[in-house]
Amino acid sequence: MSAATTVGTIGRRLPRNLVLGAFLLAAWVVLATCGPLLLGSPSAMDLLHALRPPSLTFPFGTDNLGRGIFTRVVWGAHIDLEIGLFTVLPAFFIGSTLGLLAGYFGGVIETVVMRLVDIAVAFPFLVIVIAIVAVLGPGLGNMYIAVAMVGWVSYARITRAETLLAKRLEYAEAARLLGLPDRRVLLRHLLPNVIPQAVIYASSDVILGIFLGSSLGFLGLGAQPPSPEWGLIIADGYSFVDRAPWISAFPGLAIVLLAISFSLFGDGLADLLRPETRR
Amino acid sequence: MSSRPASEAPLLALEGVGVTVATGGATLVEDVSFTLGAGESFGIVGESGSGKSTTVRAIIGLLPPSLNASGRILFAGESIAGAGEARLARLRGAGIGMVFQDPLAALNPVMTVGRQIAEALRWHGRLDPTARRRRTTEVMRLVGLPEPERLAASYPHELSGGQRQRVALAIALACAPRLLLADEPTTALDVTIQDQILRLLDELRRSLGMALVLVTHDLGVIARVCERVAVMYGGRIVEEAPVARLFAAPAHPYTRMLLDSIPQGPRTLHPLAPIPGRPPDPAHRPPGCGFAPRCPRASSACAERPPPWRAHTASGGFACLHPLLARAPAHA
Amino acid sequence: MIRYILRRLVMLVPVAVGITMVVFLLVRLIPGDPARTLLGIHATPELVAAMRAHLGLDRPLWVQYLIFVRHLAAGDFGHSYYYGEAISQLVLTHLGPTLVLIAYSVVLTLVIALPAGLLAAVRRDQAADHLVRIGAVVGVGLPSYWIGFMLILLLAVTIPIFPVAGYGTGFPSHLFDLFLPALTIAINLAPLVLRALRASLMEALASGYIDTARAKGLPRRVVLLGHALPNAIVPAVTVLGLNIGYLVGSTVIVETVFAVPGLGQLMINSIGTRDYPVIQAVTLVLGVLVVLVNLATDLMQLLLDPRVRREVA
Repeated sequence: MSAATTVGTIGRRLPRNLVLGAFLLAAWVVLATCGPLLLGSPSAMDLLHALRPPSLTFPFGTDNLGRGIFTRVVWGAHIDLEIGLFTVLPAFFIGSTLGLLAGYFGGVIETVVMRLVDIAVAFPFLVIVIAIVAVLGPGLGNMYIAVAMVGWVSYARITRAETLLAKRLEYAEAARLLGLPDRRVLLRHLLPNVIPQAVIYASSDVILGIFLGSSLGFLGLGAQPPSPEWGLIIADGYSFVDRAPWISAFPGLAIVLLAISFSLFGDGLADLLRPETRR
Repeated sequence: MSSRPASEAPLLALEGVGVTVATGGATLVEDVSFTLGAGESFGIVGESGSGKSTTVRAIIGLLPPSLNASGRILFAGESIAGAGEARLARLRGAGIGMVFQDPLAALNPVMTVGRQIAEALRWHGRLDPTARRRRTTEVMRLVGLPEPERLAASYPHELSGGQRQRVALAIALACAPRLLLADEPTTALDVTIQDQILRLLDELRRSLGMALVLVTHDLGVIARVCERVAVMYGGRIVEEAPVARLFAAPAHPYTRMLLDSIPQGPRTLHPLAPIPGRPPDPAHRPPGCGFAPRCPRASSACAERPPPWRAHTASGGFACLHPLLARAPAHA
Repeated sequence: MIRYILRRLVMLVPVAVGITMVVFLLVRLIPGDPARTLLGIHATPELVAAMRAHLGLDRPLWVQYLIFVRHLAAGDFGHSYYYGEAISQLVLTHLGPTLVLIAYSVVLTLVIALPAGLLAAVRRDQAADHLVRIGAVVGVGLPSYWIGFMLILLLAVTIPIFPVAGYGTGFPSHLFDLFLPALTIAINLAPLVLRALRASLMEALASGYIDTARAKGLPRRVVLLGHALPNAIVPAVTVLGLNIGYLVGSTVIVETVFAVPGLGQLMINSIGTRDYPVIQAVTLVLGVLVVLVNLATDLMQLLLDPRVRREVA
């Protein structure tokens, strides 16, 4: 009952938005990896052409230091993609593991985990991340640590709920009755059926991660200058909203387009996996 | 289509009423006609899916937007089929009232019972708040609810099933309509409560001079409350008769089998005889009589065209080529 | 019912304790002497020694925590050397704008979500429904600081109606100046409420009591607004409550973008000046605020749905 076989049987019936989303994401990855190779440095200053509107040489215009926004946005693509990944992956792994264990073993483990969840949920997510980053020092690395410390909570809740449901189904009972060790039951039988919901959530969480990362960049707590992280570029462009709105407008547009790509992919993934997870 | 004295115009008249699904054209109700005089009680009985609820909803104009109604419906001599929403709204509550099957679902959970009754009055009458309160308690007493002043402030979930159905009746009767439509009003209630509610319906009808159309799948209910009854099958009326005669000497084979399927005593003496097969699919209705596939008396002619309506000598009629009658009646 | 409220307040205690613990540990995360960290650039040997005594830094950690709680209970949040005043005072002056912004955002969210949700549910699967739903998808997909930027660009720069920043003096001025910030938050939040409302409205409209209401002869509009909506509003309010954390988090960004002198701006500024006691205090206050607003949402449910009232009685 692994996920691989179920995808195999769906085959040609892949949801449209999944295909579209995957295509867009692939395009983004190509852009992020190959784009910088074709363009100049994102820090290349050209003061003679400062604050110029979009033109043929500078498709997205220039900022106050004469740096081309288009170049900076393309260079920043890989940063924001990484942000999306590194904010979600640690939280996903930590949270799913804790949730699985809490749901399966119950008892003390469950109580402790759920109490931690209650406390973490009480805080506004952004506030606590900011607070932790404030304490640890600004920078993307510390931001990832901060997110991992608080973000695992949602995944724990989801996998615990799914585990509680799956635990009662016959195949889990059968495996236990056969005397299979807990670890085997967990890994081979429960995990493949419990994880899809968390994966679906992760695909939409990536968007939130990108927003969070760029928000922190915007606030000066995430990526540090002169990194062409999109939130940072938007922050730089704020004071020029009346003279050069393109500085902030284009990176923002890029974020929105990236978010839409992930959104389509996530919705498609949900459509694909949902019929299989509902037993 | 039923013979009745022509001196009094009927309160309600349906002529060739049909209901189809807008997309796809499946037919839920076909060529239904009957009349009803003031103060009469008329029952419509049939299996689920026979179209009886749909017919009654078409009368009051409460069909979902996915369904289209056709045919003529006359209330107090005026045509109301296809009337505009505003006109129907004026009619509902004041001229025609309706109660539904599930009393818990039929009441708004977040509004007090008294307010739900008074609301009907607000929209139809010119009573001031005090008069409305008085009328509310009056109609609550009428339907047999104890301590109306106190009960009016309760919420539906605080009442019992029987009480809720009484409230639903109170809502329908608040503006003294001339016709009450009741769609399976007792099906969701306990057996002991069913009897109370049926008795209440009967009393109200007589004391208020109100006509009643009662839809049910339970022949026992029909026997208790109705004067005349129409049997529906597969979206059509297959027989119509006064209640006594329907039970004593049914003409249509389906009616006969319905009667036979009612438990009437110890099973050893009266074995239950359920009707084999199932009703026709509205999307793929056979060209002939809808009951033919299940009918022990069916012939090849039955499957070709729907049997025409034949009036009974006494009153009512049936639609069958091989009715269970001692002698064949005159053709209509 | 009073018992229920009291019971909920009691359930808050462990969460509140948890919040204080997290905040307490926050500063301890910084390597080095906490006293020196808290004093920052104002650290002199005498002040450091006094601070160490004040915090009980030579006592075991759990005792330090108790001392911390004791200070909190007395209203002593510490002293900000940067601003030169007691932090409790600082928090109070900055609390107002944040509270107004939060309330304003909630109001605007409802102003957008209610009509849109009604429209989408009533004109289900028609053009209006699709438009509303697309709008909802777009609204969630925009980061708040970019929305703020676009609003400033459109409504403050290109068509100069609203101020680019600030809070103004006097309440009417507050309302005017806070319109764009509150709208920014509302654009993110309204789609969530809208979706919940649309779903619950569709469910309500399919319920039996709608038949009864129409059979009474009520006009369509009355049925929708007087019967369907009061039933459908409860899940929508619940969704709003669930996202309070997100709302409060958004205020931090929005206050920075629009230079609103609230707690969020206080926090960000204090990060720049390494004013850790302030960061600690603001985190605590915001956490408590979220918990209280959650409680308020639960109480709203009590108010709106008599069935919930009966369950808790």
